[in-house]
Amino acid sequence: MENVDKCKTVSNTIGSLVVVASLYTVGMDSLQMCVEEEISSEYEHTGVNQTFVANSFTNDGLVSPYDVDVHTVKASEIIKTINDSLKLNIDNYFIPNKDLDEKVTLFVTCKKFQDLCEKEEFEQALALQKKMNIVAQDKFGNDSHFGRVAFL
Amino acid sequence: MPVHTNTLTDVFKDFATCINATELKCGEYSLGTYAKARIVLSRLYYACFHKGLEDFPRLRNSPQGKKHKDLIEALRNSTEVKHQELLPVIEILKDLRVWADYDHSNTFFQRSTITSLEYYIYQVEEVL
Repeated sequence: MENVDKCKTVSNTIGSLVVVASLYTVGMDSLQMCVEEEISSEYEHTGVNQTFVANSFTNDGLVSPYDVDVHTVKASEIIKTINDSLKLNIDNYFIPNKDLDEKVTLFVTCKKFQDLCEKEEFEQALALQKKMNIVAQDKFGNDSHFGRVAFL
Repeated sequence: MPVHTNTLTDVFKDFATCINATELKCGEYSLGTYAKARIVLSRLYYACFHKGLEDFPRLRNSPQGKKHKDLIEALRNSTEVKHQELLPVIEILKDLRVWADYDHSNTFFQRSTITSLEYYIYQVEEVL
């Protein structure tokens, strides 16, 4: 009889562990889905077509498929602000030097800039670039990731 | 006080302008905008760098290896108008120069057009 009770206790404990493990797995899946949705909505929001950095990393047994690049997220916010304010339709961006230096330049491309360059209206392009920096500065102040925004 | 004439500024600027106006070929293949972009942007940065050093002789003659950072810091701390005009151009070109000289795997500029290079030549000519 005592052995039967022991067996029941062990069985219940295993059952509980299975339930907890299942809930944990479901939780991790949901969390991952949330992250995926957040990232895709961010990109749909800005309309900028770039591949998100998706590296795997291991930390004390936890594995995440996403290594969130702060420069990319910040760039997305700045581009949205500029697009909303100046109606520029920035279509791509480039952040060279981001791993080596602080307050780097966020380079952006857009058709309006290309049109101005093709007409050799460089002064106007430069004036537009200055406006872009004023908008970014007003909204984000002294951001530690980006020093300037420039056309490329 | 001896007057120092810096000839490297014009050498680099003229080199960049010349490369931009030349069709670059490797055998039968044209190297096009991408190769030009790397060469031109790097030279434009050095034209600005040497222009900046003209006004900071102590920095120019310093044996220390971080002249590029120190020059930008010196320009930031200066109240002279010409330094304030040079600062944004040199800061922007510095980031492009790092890409142009060292980051061969990043092919971003392959999709860009030559007009962007002329935009940077225009900016450099304005501040030199």
